[in-house]
Amino acid sequence: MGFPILSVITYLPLITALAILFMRPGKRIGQFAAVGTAVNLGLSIVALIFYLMSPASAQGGVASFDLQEKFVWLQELNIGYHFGVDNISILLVVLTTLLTLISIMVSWNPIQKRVKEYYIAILVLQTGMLGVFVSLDFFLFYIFWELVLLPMALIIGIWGSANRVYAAIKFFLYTLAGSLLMLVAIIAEYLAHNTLDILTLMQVGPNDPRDFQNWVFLAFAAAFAVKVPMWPVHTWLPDAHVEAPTAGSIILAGVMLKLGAYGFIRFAMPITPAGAATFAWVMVGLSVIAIIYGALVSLVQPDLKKLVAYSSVSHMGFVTLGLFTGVWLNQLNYGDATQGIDGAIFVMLSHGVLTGGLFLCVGAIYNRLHTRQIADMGGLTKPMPRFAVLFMIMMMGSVGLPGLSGFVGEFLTMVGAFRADWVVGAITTFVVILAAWYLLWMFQRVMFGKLTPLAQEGHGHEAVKDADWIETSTLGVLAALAIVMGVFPGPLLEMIHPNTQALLHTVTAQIPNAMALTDMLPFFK
Amino acid sequence: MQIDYAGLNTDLWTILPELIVTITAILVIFADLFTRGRSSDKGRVLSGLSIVGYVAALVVCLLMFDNNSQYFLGFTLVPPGTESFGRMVVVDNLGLFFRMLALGTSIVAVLLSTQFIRDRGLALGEYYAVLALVTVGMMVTAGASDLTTVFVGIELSSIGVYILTGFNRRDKLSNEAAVKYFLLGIFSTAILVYGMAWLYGMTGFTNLRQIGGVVGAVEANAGIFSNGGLLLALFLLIAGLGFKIAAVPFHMWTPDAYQGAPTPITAMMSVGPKAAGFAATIRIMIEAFGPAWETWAPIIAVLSVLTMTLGNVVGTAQRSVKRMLAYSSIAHTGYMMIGLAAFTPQNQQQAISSVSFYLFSYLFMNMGAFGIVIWLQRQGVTDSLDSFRGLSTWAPGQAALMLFFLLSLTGIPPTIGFLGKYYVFVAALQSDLTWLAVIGALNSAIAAFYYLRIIWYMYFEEPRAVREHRASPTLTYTLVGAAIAVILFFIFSGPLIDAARVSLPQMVAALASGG
Repeated sequence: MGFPILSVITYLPLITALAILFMRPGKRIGQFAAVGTAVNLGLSIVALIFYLMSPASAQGGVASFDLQEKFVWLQELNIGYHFGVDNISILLVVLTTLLTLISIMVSWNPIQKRVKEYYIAILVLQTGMLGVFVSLDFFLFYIFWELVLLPMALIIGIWGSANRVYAAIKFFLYTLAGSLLMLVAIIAEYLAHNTLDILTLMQVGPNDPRDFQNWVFLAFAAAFAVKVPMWPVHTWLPDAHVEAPTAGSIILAGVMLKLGAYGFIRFAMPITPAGAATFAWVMVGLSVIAIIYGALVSLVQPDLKKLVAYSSVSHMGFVTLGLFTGVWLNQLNYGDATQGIDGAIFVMLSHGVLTGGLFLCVGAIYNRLHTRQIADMGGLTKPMPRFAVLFMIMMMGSVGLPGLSGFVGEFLTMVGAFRADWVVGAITTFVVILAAWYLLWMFQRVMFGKLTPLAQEGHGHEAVKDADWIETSTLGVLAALAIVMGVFPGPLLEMIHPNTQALLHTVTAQIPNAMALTDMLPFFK
Repeated sequence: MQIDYAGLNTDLWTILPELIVTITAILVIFADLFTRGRSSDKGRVLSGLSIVGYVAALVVCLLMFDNNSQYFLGFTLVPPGTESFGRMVVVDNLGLFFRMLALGTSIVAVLLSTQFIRDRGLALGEYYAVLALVTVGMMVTAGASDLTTVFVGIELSSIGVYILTGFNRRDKLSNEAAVKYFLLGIFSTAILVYGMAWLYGMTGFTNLRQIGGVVGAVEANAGIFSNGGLLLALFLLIAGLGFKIAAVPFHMWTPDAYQGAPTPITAMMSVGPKAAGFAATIRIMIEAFGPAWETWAPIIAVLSVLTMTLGNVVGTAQRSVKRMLAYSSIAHTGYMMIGLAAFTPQNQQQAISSVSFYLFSYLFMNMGAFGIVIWLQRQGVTDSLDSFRGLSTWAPGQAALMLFFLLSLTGIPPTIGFLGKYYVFVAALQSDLTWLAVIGALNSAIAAFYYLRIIWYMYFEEPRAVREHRASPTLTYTLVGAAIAVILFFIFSGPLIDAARVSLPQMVAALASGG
């Protein structure tokens, strides 16, 4: 074992937070937190390069894990300390550090209340999210999974807007209820195999009896579906997003929603493939509902932030749709169709960049006008030309304009959906029209048209200014990423492809093992 | 019963920890008489004396602990499994573990009490002496191998706790609580004794293992249902013991007693007597009724569901934090009973050690939470939820400590409370009680609601008034220590789990041979 770079990346934010605990309150704290996270971003890029140089990066499945750190922690319960990344999680690690850095930077000005606690919360949150992505032991994973919960609830509850307490508590309880069921599933896996090591479970898990896999999958799905969030357990998301401060929304949309999808890819599908195959049709159905529902609700939203939040529900629906059309029963006849899963992972990354950016834009407008109502806005292009360009890139990416990152993932997902079932494919394609409708309409009402009095004078009668350097630089980085990922998706797709293939092989091998619809009646008895 | 008078000398060694604490109690009374000076000096002497006594007893217990574990030094004072006083007392690891739990509880209780008692001008000598005697009672229960000893231990600790509950005699609530607790307490003790009498009548023994032999024979012959008297004894004992551990539907005394008692005593009685009650339950259920586990384990499982659910649901409606913690304590009894309900002859080690470990984790987190209430009361506010309003702005340190204790009570990592729940759920799943583990998990989510409400008041609300702190160093250091324990025992829990596990071999053997 060489230099424990993953442990360093995971715990560096925690150490930064500890240092902040002993600092005097002041402006320095935010800058210090940003420096700490910037170092972490650098380290995670170094880790990415190291990973790409290792032979493991060309492999799929268990062989694709590298940069591993492993030692015994709790011998009595067979719990190990095991870190490692594969080609999906390393990308999410980089995304996490990048978005945390951005959210710390955009907090410098708006956050004036209890500054010290704020940055401590964000940094602890970062440790939790990174830990989830690098843990290869279920016990360790669960610790980080729960560690994410409280700082986020505090960020919403202390620094959020009017209805923040309700949103914070709802967020906390929804997520906790889901993860406790997952805990039971984890224990069941432990008792079945006497280990909690994820790499071992990935090898032995698929051979478990069918019923066992089905139940464990359901318990996993309870936890992950809440985090994604899938319809009908999505209701915490609009509240949390709307009440959270801008930085909280960016992290929520950019990283925390990915935790759920990551859970499906890393745990639920490889360890309980028969369960995934059994319930694929349920998951596909729920995803389609989420896609349509999110889009329709967005269409009628008078609240700008809520509109972006519901569009997240719709976009995350594409992720779960891609994952589960990939394993759907029909797939068996179509050979090696990895487009759905490839697309889902791509949507995860691109949604992090684009929706993170959109929430940043919403936050920038809110800072100037102190309103989130679309009706109060209008003609903002005039005072904010630079901002308008960046906002438009984010919005167009979210619509799915070819050339931007949103298109690649959604297109692949739709190909996957068509190959599984043309009805599903047709419905989702139709929703893209809705997405164009609500996003373009929103943009027109907010940025174009006549300048409303509020948009002219701004809040507190200070003239509305164009994006400052923080907003320009952070949005600029995200816009550049969206364009690069949209124009050159090849390297990224090649990177994730081996893993998708391995994943699909595990699951399709289990499809004969899955329950048919008719078998399911006694299952629910 | 034959008492071997020649062997009495070695018998005394087996109760050395109890003797030390008894002597401490007597010394405290004398020290109270003969020390002069201000009450703060006196308090320091008496509390110091108590702690020295408890620590000495704790060290002796550690030395007596069986050495077949990688973490414990092989220094055996008394051979493990020794029975003394005509098979009335047994020295085994289970008993030692629970004795150490009792001692740990009392040490923390003394540390939480010092300032509290001085502030209220309560009688110091009696307080510490009675506390020490309660500790002796809990320790005797832990090491009992005979119905008589179980009864003596439980009564010794209960009577002391009745006194301590009403100790603040100028406080009406405290008096009310003491009277209620006393009346319901003696009622339940009567039920317990009645059950013991039936058990003695049906089997002809008071020794638990000998009873176990008879029960085993009955079970092997025609099943326990063929013997109505034995069945009645079982039900009566479950009811009596259920009262001691505050299990639904025998929990009615808990909220009033917890709310009215002086807060340090509430903290103590939420852990110590509960632990002693569980020790007695484990002894009676497993040593005496072990062969009939298929009859009582489902009863415990059902009671556990009722206990968790009622505790958590009613807990959400409380405005007084002490009362809320009382219902939380009922709910935690429910979680511990999951471990007991998971008992099967194959799985006994896992089942019992999960209960022991849970109690250990409960010690720090629950007494810590009560400690914050004590700290708030010293600042001149009440125990109502409103006192927590905006605590994080005027006392960030205390708020952060409370946050840790509440997270641990909720069962969120990285805290010892999570490990306790995890371990209990593992035991349940191992015995194919998945439904019970799922209900336990869902209950944790309900419980999160009211724990979260305190967090919300501390962090999301603005304070009514900014206050000056009144220093209370002992209390603060104790709370910091408890918080460190909550995290440290999570990260380095190996020795503890090991200790909870090795507390079993003798019982396993006893069940196999049938006494």
